[in-house]
Amino acid sequence: MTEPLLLLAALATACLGCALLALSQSRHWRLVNGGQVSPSATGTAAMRGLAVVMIVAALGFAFGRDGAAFGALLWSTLVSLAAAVTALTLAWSPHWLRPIAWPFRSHSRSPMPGIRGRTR
Amino acid sequence: MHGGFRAAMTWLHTWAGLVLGGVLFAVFWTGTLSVFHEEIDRWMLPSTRLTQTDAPLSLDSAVVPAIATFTQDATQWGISLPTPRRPHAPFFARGTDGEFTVHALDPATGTPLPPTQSEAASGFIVPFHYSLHIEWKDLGNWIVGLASMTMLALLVSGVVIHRKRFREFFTLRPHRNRQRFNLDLHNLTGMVALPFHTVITLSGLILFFGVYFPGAAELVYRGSPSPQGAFIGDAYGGYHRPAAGTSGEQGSLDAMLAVARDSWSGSPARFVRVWHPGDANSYVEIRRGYGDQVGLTRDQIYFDAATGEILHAFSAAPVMHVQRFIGGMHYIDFNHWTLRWLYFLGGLAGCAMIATGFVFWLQARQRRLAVHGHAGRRTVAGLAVGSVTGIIVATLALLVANRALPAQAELIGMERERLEILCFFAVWAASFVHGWLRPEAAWREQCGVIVTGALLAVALNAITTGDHLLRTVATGYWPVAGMDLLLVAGAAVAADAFRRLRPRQVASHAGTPSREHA
Repeated sequence: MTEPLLLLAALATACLGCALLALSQSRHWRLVNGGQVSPSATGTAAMRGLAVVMIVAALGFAFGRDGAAFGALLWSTLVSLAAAVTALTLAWSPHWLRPIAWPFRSHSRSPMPGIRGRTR
Repeated sequence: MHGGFRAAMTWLHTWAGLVLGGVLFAVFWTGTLSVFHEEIDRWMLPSTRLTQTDAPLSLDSAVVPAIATFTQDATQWGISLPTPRRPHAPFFARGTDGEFTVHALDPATGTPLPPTQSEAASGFIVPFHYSLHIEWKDLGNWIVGLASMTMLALLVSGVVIHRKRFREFFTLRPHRNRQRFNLDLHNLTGMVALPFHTVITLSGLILFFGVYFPGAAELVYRGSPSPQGAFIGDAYGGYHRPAAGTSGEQGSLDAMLAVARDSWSGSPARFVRVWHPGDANSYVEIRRGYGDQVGLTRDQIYFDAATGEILHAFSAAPVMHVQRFIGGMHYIDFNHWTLRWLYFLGGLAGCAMIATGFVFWLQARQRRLAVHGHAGRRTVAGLAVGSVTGIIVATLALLVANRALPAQAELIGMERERLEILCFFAVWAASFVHGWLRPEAAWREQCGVIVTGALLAVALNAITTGDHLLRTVATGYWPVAGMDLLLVAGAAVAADAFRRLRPRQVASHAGTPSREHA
């Protein structure tokens, strides 16, 4: 029973890590939150730091499930999958990532009101 | 200076990709299919759709008596033991005349299965992946090797050209124009699967070091009378002793298998071979299975056939161990379904990257070179269509021919298995001509053929074998159910492409060629 759970945990942390990395880029942040909301002063750095933690955690889960040899292969391919999933989510349902962005939002209004939300 | 470097990389990326993109797509496509070669074999070889039992296999009581007629006068015989993905046991015996007798055995009874009459995936698709079936002077291996080196150069030059894109990692804009979406898809598949593509290409080259670096053995074993033989013995292991000429007993093979398994910390064997059967000097070779580790292990043990005494045990040296690990990463002969699917997706990403690269080249020149007038663009269009959708159509032709050709089919001296392959190559060649004749419409038309071919293959499998999707899914027979489901999924994707590629009234939607490229 632990094997599927560890796999799920590795995939979930890898996806969360990639989503945070994407949100730390201004183009994707605007796409998800609209131009009116900006990340807090420390938000971008916090997202990147947490993303690294998540991706390292995924490595831990992969090693825990499969050991070093299979775990390394599993982790590297899972992170690629997570990056693809993140890109597809941003392309078709970016609002799904809004809950992940929420803790990193600035409480004040965007200092750049001129910036528009999604541009297609 | 920097602009010059980037321009040079762009030139390299454009033209190397164009010249070898067709070979690369063929190698990536067949490689992606090879991930599931055992499952494709089950689909294409219905006689091997055996139900696996949990009962332990006994060579002594079931197999050895059943194959006595083949092994009586043999100088050696061998059997590949069934694996979780391959229920049957391929068997060979070599006669005193040097001729091989080959059968697929039912491991439960030792009886030969009916002849398969198809090369299937293991005999056609997998060798195509690394040799293109050009055997003359290993030319096919060398072309694939050159394409692999080119792939590595393309990956590096692609990163240089698109390095600014890393700031926009994860960007995919399906709602913009086609050209934007195509280039986004090219960059995205290239970037997210970059580690996989690099490792899979490099490991493929390392796997074939013997072909690409044939002089290596001569350099190291210069003093030896047979440098190649000495190298193979040291690197891969082996043991030999001549026949005595007097008759001898055959001890229990099952007991030797048990000893081997114990000395490999529980790993089952994959292959058993009896040398000089019936001779006083007869000995038994047992090789360790690949299922539970990444590397393609070379562990092997040799037993005296009569007494079961261990004559020689081999384990690869550290350097060879590394080579076998890298090779095993490429081969994925291990039991790991998650990784198998992830490799499959990585392979598909590679196919998408190469296909979108081709499409970008064509789109970027759509305006610059008048669409129908320019011979060069037309040639590339034919090359791209045949390389991408053409090989997919040809693969489906192979599957359809496999199910539709009658058992005793023969034409111009070619037997059934050759005819299947003829269908593949004939359809593939036709797809290039089609692409050249109708450069604009061929993409869509071949997508239509893919839909038809994939659904036809599923229907023919149901009709000719009775293993239709309802039955295979209900009984959980996943090798065949999975193949059928992937064919249906592929048909759905091709149908969507067919719908999206319908001709538009105004052909000016494609936007201007990007300055990033070409």
